[in-house]
Amino acid sequence: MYKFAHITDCHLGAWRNPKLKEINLKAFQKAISICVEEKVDFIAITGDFFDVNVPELDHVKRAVDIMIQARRHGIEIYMIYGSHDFTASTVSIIDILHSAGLFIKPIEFEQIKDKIKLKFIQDKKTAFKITGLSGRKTGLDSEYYNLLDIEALESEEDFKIFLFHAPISELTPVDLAHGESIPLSLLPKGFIYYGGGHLHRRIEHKHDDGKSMIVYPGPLFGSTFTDLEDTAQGERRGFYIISYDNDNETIRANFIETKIVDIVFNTINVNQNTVKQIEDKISSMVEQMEDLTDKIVLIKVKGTLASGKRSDINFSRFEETLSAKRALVSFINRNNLVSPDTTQVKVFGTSIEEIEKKVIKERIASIKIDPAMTDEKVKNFIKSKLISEHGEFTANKLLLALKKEKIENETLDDFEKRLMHEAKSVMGLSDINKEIK
Amino acid sequence: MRDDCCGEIIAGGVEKLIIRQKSDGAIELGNLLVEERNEGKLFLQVFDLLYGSQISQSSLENISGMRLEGSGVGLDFVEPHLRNYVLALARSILYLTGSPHNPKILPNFMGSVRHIKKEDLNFLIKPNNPLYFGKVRTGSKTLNADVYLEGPDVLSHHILIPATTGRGKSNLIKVMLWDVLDKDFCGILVLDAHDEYFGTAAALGLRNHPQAANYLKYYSPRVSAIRGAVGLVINLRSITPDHLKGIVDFTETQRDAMYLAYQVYRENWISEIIRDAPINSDVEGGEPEIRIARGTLNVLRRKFNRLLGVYFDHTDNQLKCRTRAFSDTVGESTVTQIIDTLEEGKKVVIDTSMLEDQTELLIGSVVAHEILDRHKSAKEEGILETKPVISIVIEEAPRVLGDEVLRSSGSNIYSDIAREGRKFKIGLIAITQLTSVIPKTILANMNTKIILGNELATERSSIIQSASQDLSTDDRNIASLDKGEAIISSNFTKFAVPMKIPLFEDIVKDMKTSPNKKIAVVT
Ligand SMILES: Nc1ncnc2c1ncn2[C@@H]1O[C@H](COP(=O)(O)OP(=O)(O)OP(=O)(O)O)[C@@H](O)[C@H]1O
Ligand SMILES: [Mg+2]
Repeated sequence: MYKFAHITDCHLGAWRNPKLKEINLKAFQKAISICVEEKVDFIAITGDFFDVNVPELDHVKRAVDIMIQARRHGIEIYMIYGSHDFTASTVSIIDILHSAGLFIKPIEFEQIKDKIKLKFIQDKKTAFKITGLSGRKTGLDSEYYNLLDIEALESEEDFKIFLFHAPISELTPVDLAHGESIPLSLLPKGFIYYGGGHLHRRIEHKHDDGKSMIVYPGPLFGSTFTDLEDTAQGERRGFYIISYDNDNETIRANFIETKIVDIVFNTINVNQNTVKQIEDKISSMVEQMEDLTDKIVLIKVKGTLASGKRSDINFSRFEETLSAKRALVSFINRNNLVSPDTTQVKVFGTSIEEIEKKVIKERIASIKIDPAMTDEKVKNFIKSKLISEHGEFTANKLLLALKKEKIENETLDDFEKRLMHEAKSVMGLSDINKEIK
Repeated sequence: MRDDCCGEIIAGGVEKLIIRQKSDGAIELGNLLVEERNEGKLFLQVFDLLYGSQISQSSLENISGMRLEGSGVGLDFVEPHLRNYVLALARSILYLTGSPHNPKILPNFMGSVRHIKKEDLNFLIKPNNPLYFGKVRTGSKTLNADVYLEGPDVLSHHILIPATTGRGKSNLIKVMLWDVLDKDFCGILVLDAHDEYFGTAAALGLRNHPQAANYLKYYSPRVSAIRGAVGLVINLRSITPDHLKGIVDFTETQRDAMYLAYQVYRENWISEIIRDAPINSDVEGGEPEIRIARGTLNVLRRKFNRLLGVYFDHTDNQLKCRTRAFSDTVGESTVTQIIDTLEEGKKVVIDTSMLEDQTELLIGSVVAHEILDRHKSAKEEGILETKPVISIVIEEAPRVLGDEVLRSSGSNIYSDIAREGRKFKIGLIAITQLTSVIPKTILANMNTKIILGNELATERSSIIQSASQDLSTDDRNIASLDKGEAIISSNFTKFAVPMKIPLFEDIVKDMKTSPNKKIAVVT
């Protein structure tokens, strides 16, 4: 009987709030301590270990200290990368940890003609053969899975483990449905265990008539307020210890919770309410809340404002009241509170660029020329630059121009001038001034 | 006289022009002819052929008799091509003077006509969002001129493809999908009852398209489905009682029971019914009269068993599905994923070959309902313009659009789409062997008809009656259409265009081999 741990989506370094950042790290510490206690044979980590490719170094140090505890007990760590913790273009912290020999990256491959042949790494203690694929930064490309030399993967002898960082179409929960996913049929067959990362949800799936399992442990704590809301609503957070009985060839997955603190979550629905009414609603809810000591308190306000803006509501006042009631952290989520002068645009995309393009497209589609406008020159300018495809083109160009970063040694003043110049030339603004005059 | 003249107009009127064929004029049924005039070109189409002769009938009979009985050896006509000839009956179908319009004039009396040439069709310009159908055909000859129509218009106003079996309906769909596969102005959902569109190792299909990896998604419930296929598994929670409307027959009582179960158990209603949940005790303050009778519950369970293949396995206390197409654990986001894919202007083929008829229709219904909902709210938000048009291909359309089913089960999502889909940029591509059983009101909403061969006179007549152009003289034409030959009659064409649809396999083979792909691998 062998056992190994499967941890994923730690997102260490996530959270601006220092307390949440600390809890996140504590959850990781807890997971590793349990692995040591349980004497697992090895640990598999399936991506998004860090939240960004270069996290604060003080946090990195503490993460390394924790990993070293496992290594001291002879527990090997196998890790693939996620979509958060690395960039292809520069060196990431995770690469440095890898170079230092802190973990093994089982994603070596050979490219043979137009196929990718993954190499297996055999774990010394268990003799399991491990291989996998990292997540991709720019969305997921099922074509990439299509290129795998599947025969080589499937014909490899011995007990095999596949680690990956991607949603699987058939297993994705409905609220995480948008975006690309890979179908089950693209996974190589005949592995005893498929360890998944990326989805912040716990999923256990018996595969291949129960001969193997596909498991997503989900994050140890979570990296967004949505994650915490899910936790508060019953989603348990933690990791898995997988036991495999070589003789009977049976696999058992044991979920281990890594809860550090309790989370309280309440929703306030508003419908065409005034700022005052909304403040009253929040206030009465906050007053009624009890027993908040050392808990994370989340309140979500959703619905529509009758008039005014979201920023007219004094949210911080309530957050202060909650901390006075000894809440560890409190947060009022108002992303779903819509004020009358913002129409919401809903788009789905797999990369920032794609989402930007779509948002721009939808927004621009709703812009029309005021029929009362008489100035032909202005009208023509609007037509040629600001609406329909022209508008999309201008907006995308403008965004690109404004995304430029300051060059090393450039003065702030020069940088500003440069941006301004580029933006103006995108808008053709020097011209219009002349024309209108 | 022009060198390329093939005949002269010698008699007739608007309804019927009579053309004497030049002896080597080679006029065929269905030929397109052109009369050139100073002001433009008049296009004619031949709908019948007959003989003409300068010699009286009795003389002809006499000559024939002598030849047959052996007493007229060597007997022959003097200048036979002057005395005996072919008469072609034709109608003017289009008048081109700069732009094309309906002809309201007669061709010149004794004017000469010639066969159509590719250049005559230069006015058929490729629209912005082209939907391809095939090439223009004159009689049995194909011209190298493509038939394209403006995709979003045509798709949102529905397409009907009527033809008897084996005339090339499926081939046409494949040809259309192939050309439009990587164009993102439309998302197309195909409910593929014969699993014939995606292709296999043995048969060419849409999967051979160079852009298939990016633009085509294939769902199949087969366990051993081809690599890249997505498992067709729909979570029972995606289904609401509305989705069953008009697809499966329920009594009033059963319907009420379903809605009640839905109220109590929300999206878990089907699995709770299958698990035999205590519906009656769980209703909050439940009035005794709104409880569900044991018998009704049993009937529903049986119906779900037949429709969805789901049942409760008492040996391991789990809900099971015989076809694997439904589940209470996985497949939660299948419907959303299908719709997202369509909304990106991609194409989705669902292999329903392993499923019952009604199950196929139900899956289509679930997806169609959700698309309609999404497009309705997009319209409310004023962003419908940014959405691609969505089209649903459905075989044997009378299953949902037939008179009988509409009368017995009431309207369903497909008939709703036929009626009002165009307002929300959703259309049907309805394939049928029988047109006569589809109500006229629905046929009138199908603004493009691609008519393939049909040997049934009653079917031809209902097709002709509902066509966008006057096809009253085309009965014979339609009857004589060979495999792959078609007439497209549409509100979006100026005339009923005779077409030859290429053979799908030829298109795939002609495809130039794409250059080697570059592989970018993340390490
Ligand atoms: N455009 C074409 N050119 C040449 N041959 C064709 C063409 N279209 C179809 N065929 C031939 O006719 C056969 C039947 O075609 P297809 O399966 O498309 O017909 P169908 O109308 O869909 O039949 P069914 O009623 O069985 O669904 C095909 O196998 C093909 O070989
Ligand atoms: Mg067919």
